[in-house]
Amino acid sequence: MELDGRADTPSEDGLFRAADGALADTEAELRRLNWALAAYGRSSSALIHFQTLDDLVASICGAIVAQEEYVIAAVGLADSGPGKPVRLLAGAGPALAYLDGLNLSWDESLPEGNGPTGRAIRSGESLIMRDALTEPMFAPWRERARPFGIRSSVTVPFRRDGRVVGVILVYASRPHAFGTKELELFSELGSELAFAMSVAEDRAQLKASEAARLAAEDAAREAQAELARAGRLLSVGEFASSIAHEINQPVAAIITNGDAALRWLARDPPDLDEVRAAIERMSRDAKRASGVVARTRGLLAKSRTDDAPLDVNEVAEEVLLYTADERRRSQVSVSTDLASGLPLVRGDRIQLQQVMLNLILNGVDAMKGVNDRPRWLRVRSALGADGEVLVEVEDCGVGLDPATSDHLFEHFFTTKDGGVGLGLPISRSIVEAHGGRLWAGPASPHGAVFRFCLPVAALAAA
Amino acid sequence: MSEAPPTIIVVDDDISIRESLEGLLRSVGFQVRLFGSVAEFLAGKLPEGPCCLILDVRLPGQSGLDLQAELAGADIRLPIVFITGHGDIPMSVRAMKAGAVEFLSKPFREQDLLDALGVGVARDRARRQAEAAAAELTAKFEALTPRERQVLGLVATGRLNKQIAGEIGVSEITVKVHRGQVMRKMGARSVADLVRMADRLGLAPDGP
Repeated sequence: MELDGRADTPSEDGLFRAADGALADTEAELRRLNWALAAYGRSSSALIHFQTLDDLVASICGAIVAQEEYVIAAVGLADSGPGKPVRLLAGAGPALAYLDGLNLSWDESLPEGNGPTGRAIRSGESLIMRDALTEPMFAPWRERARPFGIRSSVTVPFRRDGRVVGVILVYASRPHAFGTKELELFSELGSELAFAMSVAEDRAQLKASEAARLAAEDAAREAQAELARAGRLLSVGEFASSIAHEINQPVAAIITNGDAALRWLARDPPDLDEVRAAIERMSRDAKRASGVVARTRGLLAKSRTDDAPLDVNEVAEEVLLYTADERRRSQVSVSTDLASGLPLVRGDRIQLQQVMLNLILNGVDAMKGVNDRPRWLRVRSALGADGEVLVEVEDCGVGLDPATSDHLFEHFFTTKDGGVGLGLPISRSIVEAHGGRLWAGPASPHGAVFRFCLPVAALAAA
Repeated sequence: MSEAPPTIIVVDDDISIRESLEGLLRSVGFQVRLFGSVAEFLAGKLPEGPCCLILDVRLPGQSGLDLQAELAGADIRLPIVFITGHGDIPMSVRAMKAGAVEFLSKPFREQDLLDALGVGVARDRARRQAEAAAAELTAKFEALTPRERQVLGLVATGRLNKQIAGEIGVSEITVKVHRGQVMRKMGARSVADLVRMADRLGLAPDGP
């Protein structure tokens, strides 16, 4: 054990092995001891409560430099990669800029690997650099350190599983600033830090495995939903069944109304008010059935041209019909506000149906988690201010997240389970190919509204 | 005792179907209640008189088959006539196995529906009458004294007055008095009648 009085004798490698540097000045010793306890106490609380390793290291370094004469406290990790660099995790202190761009290494074959840091890591023992002005080993850094007022430093390695993994670096503004107590404190902090690192790693591993599990679940769900979606979009059978159901309901009602009307008529005396009411219902239901037939015809007549005059209201109604089953299943009511007498637009009916279909299904999806209010979807059409045709699909679902709404139309961006993130970008490119625009905004008080506009057909089709 | 007119309860989410059924059913003298969903129906009270339920199989939210299971679980024995726009055989088999009166595809023939409702209402009426009779019988039985119940039980097993007297340790005269009281209180016209009542009350003979 060296005594401080003799300690100015450089060791063979020009540095001093950390040893007993007890100061003669008992008062200073006490003061420092108090500080040491305070620093350690603060760090311990940080050790218990740390969220991320970086935060913890920053807080430990901050605690060290609370002592005025310490101008830098930093923690570096020994990297085994090429050149064995020492990667700084965090640091604190007024002279911290000294470390900016400083190459620290523990590779013996490199000049920068033979400073206090490199040697401390290799030897696993703490090193004190007592005076920056006279220490030969510090010569390469002396000029760099001068403007920062660095006069002495200590490098304390810490281990995990017996292996040195990093160092605590502390620089002071006066020579001979480091004694036994400080070394003990820093060593203590080092081993706490090593423990915290393994905790952080365990946490990260736990998180990673949790994330992997969630990702696998997501992937499974996504695949399932995608399958379901593909099925829904492609299933002609289901489409036909939806149409059949839509027609069958009013037809069944008409038949029953007819039976009822005959019975009221056969009474003695006939109840003509009831007969009239039944006939009025028959007329209403017949119109409903005929409307379904008309829209189905439009939906099935696949226009061969991709540039035909179109009524956007028809397109909207066709798709609403197509999605009737889905909306029923999801308990979404729909209201339409389709302007009459809108000019025709030119375009591909199937493609514009795809756009409508996508906006409507998006709206339905957005309301899946809504259970505290009725789920409704509103489809509007109107003539825009510049004579263009405007279509709106509004839902009362979860709405747009302001943080991500900028990405809505990017490929593969999705906020939905099982979403692929192609619906909106494809929709937008279809609308743009038709010379129109597609955009989104928030609805009030809930939900989102997607709008697109299309230019009107300049001339009726030949 | 005059009975409330039969009520047909319609649960269908399609307003055209609901309203057409209401017109038809009122024209044949039924009272009608309409509901657009299972939840609406469950929120209401059952009518007083005999009823039959017309239930759409496919409904938003809870399906008609779910409701059938739920009613059975709650021991609400309401006859059900299913109607469906997408009838398939497994579905109808399931409904019928669970006790449905009939399973009709829309559009249905009016007579098929009315026949099914006739069966359903008759079934419900019979059940109500049986339940009322059972309740009356139980009330009469509960009005008997413990000794009279004991005597009734022994009469039901075919014991003679003398045997009963020996068994319960009273005189034969006393047994005769008890027996007369039991006949009167239960409203039995004959011993055979009394034995049938005991049988329905579950006082089945436990001996030879």
